Amino acid sequence: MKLFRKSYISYLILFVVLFMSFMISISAGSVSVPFINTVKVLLAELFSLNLKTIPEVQHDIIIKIRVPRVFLGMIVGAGLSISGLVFQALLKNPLADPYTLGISAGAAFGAGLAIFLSYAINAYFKTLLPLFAFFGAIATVFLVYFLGRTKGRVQILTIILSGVVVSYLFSSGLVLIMSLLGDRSHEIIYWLMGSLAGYHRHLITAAAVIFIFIVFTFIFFRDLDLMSLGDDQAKSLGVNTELIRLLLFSTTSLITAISVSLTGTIGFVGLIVPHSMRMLFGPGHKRLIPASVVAGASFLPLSDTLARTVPSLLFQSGMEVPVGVVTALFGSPFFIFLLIRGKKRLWF
Amino acid sequence: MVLENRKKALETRSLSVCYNGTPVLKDISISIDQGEFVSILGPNGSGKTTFIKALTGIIKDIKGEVMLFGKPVTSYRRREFARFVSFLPQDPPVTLPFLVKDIVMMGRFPYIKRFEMEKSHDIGAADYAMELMDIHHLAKRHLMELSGGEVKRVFIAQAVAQESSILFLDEPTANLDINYQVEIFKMLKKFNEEMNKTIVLITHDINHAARFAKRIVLLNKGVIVKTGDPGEVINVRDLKSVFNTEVVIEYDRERKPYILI
Repeated sequence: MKLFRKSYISYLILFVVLFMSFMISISAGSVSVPFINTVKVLLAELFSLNLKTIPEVQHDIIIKIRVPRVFLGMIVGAGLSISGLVFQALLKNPLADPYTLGISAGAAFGAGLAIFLSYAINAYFKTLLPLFAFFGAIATVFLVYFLGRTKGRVQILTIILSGVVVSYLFSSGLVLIMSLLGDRSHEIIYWLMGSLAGYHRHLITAAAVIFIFIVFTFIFFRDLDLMSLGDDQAKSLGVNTELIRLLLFSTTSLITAISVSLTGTIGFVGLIVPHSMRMLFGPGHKRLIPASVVAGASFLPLSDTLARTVPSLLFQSGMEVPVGVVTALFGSPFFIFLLIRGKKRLWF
Repeated sequence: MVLENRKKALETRSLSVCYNGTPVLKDISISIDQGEFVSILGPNGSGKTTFIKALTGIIKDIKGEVMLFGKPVTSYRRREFARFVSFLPQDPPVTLPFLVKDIVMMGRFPYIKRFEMEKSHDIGAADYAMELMDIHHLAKRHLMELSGGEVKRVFIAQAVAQESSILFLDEPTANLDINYQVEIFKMLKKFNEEMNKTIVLITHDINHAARFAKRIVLLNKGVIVKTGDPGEVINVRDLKSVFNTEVVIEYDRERKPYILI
């Protein structure tokens, strides 16, 4: 399975997929807008043309609703993918991702707390939800990282295990909050499965920060290659493993925290995308980083498009499911497939 | 002339290492010159791997001093250190399907600046290393398709590409067929003699050590029992005291000792 190891055509294909994902995602939806009108609206916006032939409603649906939503999906998809990729390399564990490290659970707890406080104290707390989620995620990373350190050294297995433990801890905290909220806990449930529907004032800032961190991560592609092979190997070739692990763990955690605070916890993206890219591009991070970013930015908007169109076609018009349901529906079979291929080959 | 070339490559002064309070290496003082071929012998648990890991800076929690070319190892930056010292671990990692040429190129890591690509000298060094280890034909295969012997050769090539002055190898011939064992030792000997590289390796094979090494360090229970040329160290009394086994020692045409069990 080293289909695209050599050629640059692979990148071209990835960008074509990204473009198609973007076009499909902004064309499809519960309100039908003819594809040609979608293209016209985009061109009109890009080149400041004035096209009177298109109804105002269609223009607004595309520019004010769908484009921001797809853009959000691209950012979070890219963010979750690179988080999974980097955690897997730093921890030399094919199962590491924002979920297994407990970061998602921490963010969910933060979000749940904000919702609880909005009912218990002041409705104002609901506007602080992304902030609460963000700090929930960051707090978890600190907890997991420092639990994983023994005698000044970072033990990889301990980090994974403390991730699982902390994840359980926050999950039970969240269940406690939900039982206190009773009937009103459905908001938390929706958040737990993730959604791209929300409106975000600081979307551009978030995108810029994530982009900068992705570029920063790319600088370390050789270090990541060596560290994914093993610490002793990396050290003897001159990699400052302790420093780089701390550095990239921090930036990746920030990417995760921002992503999760925007959309809620969307599972499996950080596993499916890096693993598929490894199959296509091999284990070298020089290719894996850009490939995972672009593939993640295509995958999540497409999943979201399925989430907002298929239920509406199958069940009742206007029905949507959380995007996390779709990624999980892709993710679980994909994982079973990886497991069937054998433990030794789990990586690629 | 020969004496002038003798530069002290490595020196330890009362080096001790403990694991959770249990001493593994005790008060080791040894000096290794540039261009030596040293073989470390000793039974399981005698501290051989710990010794090498302490010398290569992988274990940092040490007592005493380790000097590299007259400077304490702690004064080197990681990258700089990697230009002087390379290390082949006992089980090279084969968990990811990196291509052989990429693995060898990783040996150039300490030389490639963060914002630069591989230069022609890097490609040349990787090429030479693959030539020396006879793995050119494997260049585009990936690690997980290779046999144990091929994997070892690939990672030795990586260490060769690193162009360090000192090469440490932890059991380079373990679990290999006999033809590969001899082949690898011959390649290392060539590398040692032609390029004046210092080689320090761990082996379980006393006969290989006696035939190829210029010096043997006999280690037991964390202390150096004896060190010297093969003729001095390979003797019935010392081997019995360390390995607790009766051996018979014969001499080949070059007057090098070999043992019969």
